[in-house]
Amino acid sequence: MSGDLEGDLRRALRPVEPSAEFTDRLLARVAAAGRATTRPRRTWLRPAAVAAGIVLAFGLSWGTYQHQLQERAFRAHAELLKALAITSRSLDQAYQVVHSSEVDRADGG
Amino acid sequence: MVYSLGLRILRNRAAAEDLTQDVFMQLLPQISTLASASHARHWLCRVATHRAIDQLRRRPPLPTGDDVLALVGDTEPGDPLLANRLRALIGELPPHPRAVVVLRYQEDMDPTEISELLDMPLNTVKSHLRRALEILRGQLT
Repeated sequence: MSGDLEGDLRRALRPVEPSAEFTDRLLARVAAAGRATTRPRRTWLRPAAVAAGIVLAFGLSWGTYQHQLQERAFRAHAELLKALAITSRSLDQAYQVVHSSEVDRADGG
Repeated sequence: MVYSLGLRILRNRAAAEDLTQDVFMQLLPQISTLASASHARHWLCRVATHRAIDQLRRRPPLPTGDDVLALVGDTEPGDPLLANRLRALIGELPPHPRAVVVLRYQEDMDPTEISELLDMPLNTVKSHLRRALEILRGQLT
């Protein structure tokens, strides 16, 4: 023992990162879950059709718009989770990614 | 952080991976309710620690591989044998004191933060820490 038990404990309990293989597996699982939660439900079909008509009137494709929203949400989730899984140092950045995505959505994309 | 907490408390790599996966899957629907990155970090830490403690209390301890004890091995600063011995001794502590020690020395949380995170009176946290340090000192001499 070095005489500094608390220092020895800090050295012994240095944080360990998961393996890259596990991180990849986790991200794949999260990605699949993210896709499942962002998939439109049947009950959305009617309002979606109405919204599509409106959006098309402005020259945009509702499908593309929905797809972009889903992709953006999925990317934001993946970014956050990757950052959280690998290192907490990226938390602020990841949080900005998620929130800018949500703000964009709230502003209507 | 989540994986590391799971590994240090559960002392089993597969169990730590399962815990990490469960905690992140639980985070997904909660993301929009967390006000900031520090809230997200706090949430992860809290859920991971409570889950790990519950798991330890519900199930018999899982076997610990030598690789888990010597996780950072040759690359760690200081005495690697002492580090392995300390990790093994921490693993013999009961669930709550073990979690308190891991949060204090791995996550560098002060007793007040630990008390809040574990929903435990501050004096109990301090008592767990003091007792754990006494046990570790006694075992090492």
